[in-house]
Amino acid sequence: MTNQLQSAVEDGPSKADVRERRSYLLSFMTGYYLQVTTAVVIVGLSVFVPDFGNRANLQNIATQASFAGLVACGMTLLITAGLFDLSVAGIIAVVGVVTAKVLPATTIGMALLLAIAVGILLGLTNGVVVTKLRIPPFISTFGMLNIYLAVAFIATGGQVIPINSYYFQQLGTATVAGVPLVFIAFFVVAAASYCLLYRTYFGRRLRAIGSSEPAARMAGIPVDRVKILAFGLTGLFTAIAAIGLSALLSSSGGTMAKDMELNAIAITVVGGTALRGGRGTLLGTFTAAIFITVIANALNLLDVSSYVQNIVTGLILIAALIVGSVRKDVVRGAG
Amino acid sequence: MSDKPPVLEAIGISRSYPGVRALRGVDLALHPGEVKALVGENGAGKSTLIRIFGGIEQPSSGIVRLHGTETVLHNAQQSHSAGISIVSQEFRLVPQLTVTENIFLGHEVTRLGLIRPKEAKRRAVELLAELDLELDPSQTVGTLSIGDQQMVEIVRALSRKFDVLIMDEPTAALSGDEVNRLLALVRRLRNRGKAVLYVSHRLDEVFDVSDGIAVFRDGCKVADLPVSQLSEKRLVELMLGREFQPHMSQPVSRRAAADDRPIRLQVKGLTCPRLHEPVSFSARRGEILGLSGPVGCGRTEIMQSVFGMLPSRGEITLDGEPVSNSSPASVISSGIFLLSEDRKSEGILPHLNVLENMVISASQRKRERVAKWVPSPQAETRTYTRLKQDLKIRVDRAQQLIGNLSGGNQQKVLLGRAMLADCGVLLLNEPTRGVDIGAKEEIYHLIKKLARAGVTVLVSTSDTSELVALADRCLVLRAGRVMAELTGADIDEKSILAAALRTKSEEAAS
Amino acid sequence: MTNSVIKRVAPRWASPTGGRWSVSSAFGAWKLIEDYGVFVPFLLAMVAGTLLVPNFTSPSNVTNVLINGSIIAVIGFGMTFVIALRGLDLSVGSAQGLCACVTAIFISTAGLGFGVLAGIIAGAFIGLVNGALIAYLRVPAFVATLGTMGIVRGAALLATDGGTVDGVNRALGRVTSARLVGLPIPFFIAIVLLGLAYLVFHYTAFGRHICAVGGGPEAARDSGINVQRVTLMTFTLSGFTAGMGGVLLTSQLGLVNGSLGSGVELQVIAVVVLGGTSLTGGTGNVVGTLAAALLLAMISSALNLLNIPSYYQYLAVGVLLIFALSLDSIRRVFLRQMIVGG
Repeated sequence: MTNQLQSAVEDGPSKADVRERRSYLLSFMTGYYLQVTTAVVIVGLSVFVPDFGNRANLQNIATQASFAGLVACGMTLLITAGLFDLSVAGIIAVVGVVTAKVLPATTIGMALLLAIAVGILLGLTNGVVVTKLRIPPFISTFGMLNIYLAVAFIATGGQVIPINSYYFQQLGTATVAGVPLVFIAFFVVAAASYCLLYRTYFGRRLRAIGSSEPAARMAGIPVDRVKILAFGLTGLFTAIAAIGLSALLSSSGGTMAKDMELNAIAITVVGGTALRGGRGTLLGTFTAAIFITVIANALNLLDVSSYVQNIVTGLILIAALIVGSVRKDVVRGAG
Repeated sequence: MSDKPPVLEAIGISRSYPGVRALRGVDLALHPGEVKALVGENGAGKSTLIRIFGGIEQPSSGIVRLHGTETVLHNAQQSHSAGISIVSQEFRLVPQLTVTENIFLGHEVTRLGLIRPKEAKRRAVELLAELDLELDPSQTVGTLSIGDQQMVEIVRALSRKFDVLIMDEPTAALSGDEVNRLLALVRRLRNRGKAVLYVSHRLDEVFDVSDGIAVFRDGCKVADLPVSQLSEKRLVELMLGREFQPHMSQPVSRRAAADDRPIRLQVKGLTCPRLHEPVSFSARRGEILGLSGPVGCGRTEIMQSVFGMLPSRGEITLDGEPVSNSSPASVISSGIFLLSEDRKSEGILPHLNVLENMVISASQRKRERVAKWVPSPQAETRTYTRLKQDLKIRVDRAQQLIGNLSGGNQQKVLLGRAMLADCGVLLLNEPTRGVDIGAKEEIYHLIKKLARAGVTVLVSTSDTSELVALADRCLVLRAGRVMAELTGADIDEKSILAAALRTKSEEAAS
Repeated sequence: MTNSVIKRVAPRWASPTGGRWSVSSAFGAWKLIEDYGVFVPFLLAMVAGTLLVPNFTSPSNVTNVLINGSIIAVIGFGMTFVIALRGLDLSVGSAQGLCACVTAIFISTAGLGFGVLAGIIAGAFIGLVNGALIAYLRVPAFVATLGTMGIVRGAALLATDGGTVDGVNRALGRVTSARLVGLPIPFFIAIVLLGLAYLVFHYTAFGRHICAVGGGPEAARDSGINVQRVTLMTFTLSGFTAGMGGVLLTSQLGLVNGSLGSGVELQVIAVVVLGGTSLTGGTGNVVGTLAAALLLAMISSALNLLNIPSYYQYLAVGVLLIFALSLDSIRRVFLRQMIVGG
């Protein structure tokens, strides 16, 4: 009897159902809008910009997109949980410098292990500062950025340390079936982050914290521990980016990843991850990394001053922010 | 009184939110020199009407007239300049500013654009003197007691030029003496020709001070009578509406022989904010213990302190084991779960779907290896489907976002969350706030079922009929003190109201 | 920095009858630390520098400290307002750089008056854009200003084409090179601005409204305060002070380039928080901001004089910021307990 009643209720196209479908459509549109745009832009540029579509340039784009993209994967996890990490450029510098320093003295494997350990450690440090000292993440990691950069500069005496190991350099330049190794790493990390965010308890907790921290606390989630772990993961991803970047550059130094935080946040926001937490899209982050790199690359090929690229990144970020803020209003208006 | 034209009139005011009609065609008139009381249970629409007068919300239909002319109040500024001053129920004070600064916030005392601190302080002292307050006007508001903050809120309303003063539950946090001073002030204002709209749960105050009483129930005005034509008994009847649900009128399921069951939750000497004296109580296995009392009496704080949301002192034991209430997470791991009265910001996780919202707190202690990290979709769907049927949750898909559900369905999902957390004690704050009648019944049913299964349930609510329907035993609080403990057949709406509304003489006698 | 100035910093915490603390003495003592706490490390640094660092008290170094501290303080006044509003402005460093370049460019093409005006207007415009984004498009302050930070930096580099611009102007140069009773003029500018900022903050409705919006946005709205307009004006003010900082920088350096001012936002935030302005909003301590700015300048100059590489200054600023923020968070916990317990 009650079951019948229930199914009757379920069958009727309730108002909530229609609204749900509409918001589903909306999220579908906004979700794949970027993918379509990116594809169109790539095709258009291939046709109209000479040298854009050749193999070497496409490989170059894939490689360049990977560094900020790897960091952006971590940033996506953080922003989903309502957190931020502005210290990523510092983490890359420290990890790069450590790698370059130990490489002559040890095996590549050990150096990589050490690099990753350092990245995770610095990430966890950020997490502890944010949760235990209770300093808002964007400002505390901003301070940590300075500290990490200073450490890197002090360690190198302000110099750039060259990396001579051929095999290590290969990590940045090698390709597998034409696809750069770092891009494969980026893809794997993005896919793993997706699984983490949507297929594990940890990811669910991250989203819960970003959705409503008081409610997450009330539901018994160990908020601090989850946050620290998220920072640690970002440290890990950032360390991978640092390895690839120093391999590509064949060197490490304090300024090797300047403005990385701006790029990573721009990628994440352009990808469609909500700045106020609760919802993150790794597919969006993946696409946005390519999109932004493609734009920068095209400007480069068109001989536009590199300073304009700063402006373009900033403008894209702000445009995405405005779109995000307006879109939220639309959803709220519908609901 | 009504020979003068009304200064403020509401004509046919309706206000609906998605799914709820908070006000339905309400008329209300206020005359100069009149004190009108507005009474009604929580959710009757009083606060909505006040927000409309304050310019914070706009009516869906109907008009507001000021001095006979139709006026649209778009924001707080317009409401102020129209001569309406409001003492709101939730404090709207800036904790970092001083008493004086808060009083004159938005209408600072200036000359040539510069604030005159001495003049402002002088006026603040004058206004404070109206209420016989000896507050230091230079003190930071954040360091004041709740009662003093309430007084500052009142003084702030007085500091504006106004013809109409609206007070929403001004005495919830005040002591008896402070209440008397406030009532004296209201009388003085009436003699000066001001109109006062006085909203209160305390019927003795209402009869003490007002000329007429308007009764609200379910968004409608059900009565508007001179005070001489009303008795306390009649007023309570009007508020309650006499339309008892069938099962509510037969509170038989209460167990008189409850005393042989083992004590599960024991709270000894708990001190926390808003409580004037340490409180101790215990609850047995399978018992439903009610906490009753007007808003601001401290019952919410007791629950929150037990759950580790507020700093507190005292001893809490569960089945004899001490409970560390340093954080909700540690309290939950000892086996106590709380559902907040603020479902929107402390209950639901709006970006997560219904299923995830339900299983978020599920105990992970028993899981191993992969299952410790990765949830099994099949197992979770099974759990969800079972609970969805048990709890009669009306939802189309498990993947639906929880924000789109009705209040009742959200609450059922949260009850499911609590059940999956494997807890022996369930603390419920206002479990049916914002829930429609049908779902209310079902939630009562569920709570009783849980209790029958051995769960100890604490229900804190301002809805007395809820306690009559549910509680085996009931503590009645007022202004941070436990006033009475009712058991078994003694729990009816009259005795709960009577205990909570005990007049000052009785209070002095006890 | 006489006693009378200090006394008027926070008349709110001491009772008017003098000497008697209005709340518990613990709270009063805490407020004392909060309001004047920065003077302890300030004096320590001054004494330590004088005793341990050679040439620390030499006229040229004192002048240097005062100029550098004053420039940071000027930008810090705007930031104090922003943080009191519970916002954050990460674009001030870039804005300072761009405004310095704009000033230099206009000086060489249109003359001194236009140069100074253009620099300040550019700053105010950047602030206006920030404010519009935050108040009307409801973008969170720190990301919005992170975005404008990148844009403005790009614009500065673009305007100078990555090179150096000659903004040397004898009259403007005199602003930083000339002395008044032995002290550099920027210090007097900072003092005058301090007076103005103090006046605005404590004696105008606008200043009060900033605190109200920062301390309780709902309370502010219900009191009839136009929250959006206050937000817009506050960020514009921050851009304005960054513009002034840019003009002073041009005066000090003469030759400017597009990467000037990078990292300044961090110094400024550190200075404001260290000065006793809480990130939770609702309060602001402009006197503390000036003291903390001079403290930072002293530390930098001491490190310089001791020939310590400049990277250590980064470290110092970072550590100082985290330290100040930790104090701020301890203060929050403490205040919460005060309120709950009281």
